[in-house]
Amino acid sequence: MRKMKKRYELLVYVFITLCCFVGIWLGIKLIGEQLPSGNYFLLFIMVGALCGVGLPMLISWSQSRSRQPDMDERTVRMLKNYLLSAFFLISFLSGVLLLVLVGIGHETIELGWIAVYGGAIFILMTAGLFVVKRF
Amino acid sequence: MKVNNKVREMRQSRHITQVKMAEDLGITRQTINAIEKGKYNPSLELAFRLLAYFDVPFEQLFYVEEE
Repeated sequence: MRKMKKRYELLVYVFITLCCFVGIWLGIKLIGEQLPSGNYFLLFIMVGALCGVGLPMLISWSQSRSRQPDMDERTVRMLKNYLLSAFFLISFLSGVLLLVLVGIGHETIELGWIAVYGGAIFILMTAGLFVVKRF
Repeated sequence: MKVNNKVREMRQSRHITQVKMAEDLGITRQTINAIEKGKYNPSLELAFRLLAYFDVPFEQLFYVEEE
């Protein structure tokens, strides 16, 4: 059972790594000229892969020694409640933000700012998930 | 109507730690702490597992407090 779980975990990490490469390919296609090239680009990929895949694998490996499970019914319920409230809050705040922007005279939104906004929300929500999971 | 439990008393009378109980029941230590403090009501499945773990009847572990 444990071996099976480990195999699935490895598959998930392989899938995430593949998604990262698709992301890199898309990034190059979209804003290729502005990206660093050569050794710097390789360095960015290495740091990204290490932080995004290596670190979670290391944490998962260090926690696997404990016989206590990582999650249970209460954790799942708390995560569901958190995601529901976060979804409501983000939808509401995005609406308010849009109204304010329209109110102060903005008529268009730059794609880059939407990407920054989406990224910030994603990082905050992921950090919140980890905090909720620990309680 | 509030559902209370005597999980802490049962656990301490048997000299079992929260960590040991969590490992035996396959749940987290935080959940046991929340159940003991009355902050979380376990699911029916977990309640039955607790009853089997302590080997006591339902009314000995859980009771209802009328408000």
